[in-house]
Amino acid sequence: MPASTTLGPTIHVRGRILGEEDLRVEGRVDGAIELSETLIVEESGVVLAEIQARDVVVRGIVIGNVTATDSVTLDAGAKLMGDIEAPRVILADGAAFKGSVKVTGAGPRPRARKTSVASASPVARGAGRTTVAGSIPRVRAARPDAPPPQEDEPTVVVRRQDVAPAQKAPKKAPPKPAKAASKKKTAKKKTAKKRTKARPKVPSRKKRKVSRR
Amino acid sequence: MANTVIGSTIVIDGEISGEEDLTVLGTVKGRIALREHIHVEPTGVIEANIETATITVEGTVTGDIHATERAELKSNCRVVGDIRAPRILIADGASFKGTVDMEG
Repeated sequence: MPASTTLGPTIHVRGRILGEEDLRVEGRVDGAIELSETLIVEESGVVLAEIQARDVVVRGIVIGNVTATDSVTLDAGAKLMGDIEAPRVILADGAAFKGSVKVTGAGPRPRARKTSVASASPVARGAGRTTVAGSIPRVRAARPDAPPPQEDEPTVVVRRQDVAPAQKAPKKAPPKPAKAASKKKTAKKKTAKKRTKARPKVPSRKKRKVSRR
Repeated sequence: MANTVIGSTIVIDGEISGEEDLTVLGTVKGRIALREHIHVEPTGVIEANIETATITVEGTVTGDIHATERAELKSNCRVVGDIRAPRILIADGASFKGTVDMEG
C-alpha cells in the first residue's frame, strides 16, 4: 500500500490529524493538522485548520495559520488566509494570500520573499498591459524621452521627415511633414490617423527631439 | 480513482464524513460516516462509531458498526462493539465481542 495518505474530494474531516507521512487533502479538513512530513492541499482541497508540517504545498484554499519547519509553497490558484511561519516561503504568480509572513532562521535556500500581498493573476497583468498601450500617445506627448520600445520606430520615421523639410523651408514645417508622414506610414494607417488628430502637439515634440540631437 | 487512504502513521481525532471509499491503515478516533465502503487494514485501528454502506475489517475496531448493506469481519480482526447490518460475515479466527443485529 502507498505510504502517503490521501483524503479524497468528498471527504470531510472535523478534528485533529496527526501523522508522520505525507498527507494529500483533496477534500475538507476543519480542525488541526500536525505532520512531520509534507502536507499538500490540492486544488479541490479546503483546509480550515492550524497547520504544522515540514513542508506545506497549497494549491487550494487554506484558512488558518501555517507553520512549517522547512517550506511553505503557495502555487498558482492557492488561497491562503492566515499567518505563515517558515524558513522558506514561496509565493507563485496567481496565488492569493492575506496574512503575515515570518521567515524564521536560514533555510537551505534563502530565497524567501517577504510579500504580504500577492494576488497578481495573469488576467490582471494583461489588463495592466492594455491600459499601458492605450495611454501611449499621452505618454509620448508628455515625455518623448521615454517612449515604449514598440513605438520607437514610428517616432524615428517622423524625425527624418521632419528634419528634411525643416532644412528647406523652416517655419512652414507643420503641414508638410504631416502629409509626408501619412504617406510613409501606409503600413500603419491607424496610428497615422490618430497622430494626425493630435497634430498640434507633434511639432513641439519633434522640435524637442531635434534639439536633443 | 480518488480513493481516500489514511496511512499507517496517521492519527485522526475527530469526525470523518464523505461519499467515497475509505481505507484505514492508521488510527481514527471519533466518528465515521460514509456512504461507501470502509476497509480497515490489519494495521488500522478505529475507535469510533461507524456508519457506512459496507465495511471490511482486518484490523481493530472499537465502537458500534452500522452498515446499511454488509459488514465483514476477516480473520485476525478484533472488533468490540455492536454490529447492525442486513448481511454480516464473520470469518474463522475473527475476534468479536458485542451484539449482532441483522434486521437493519
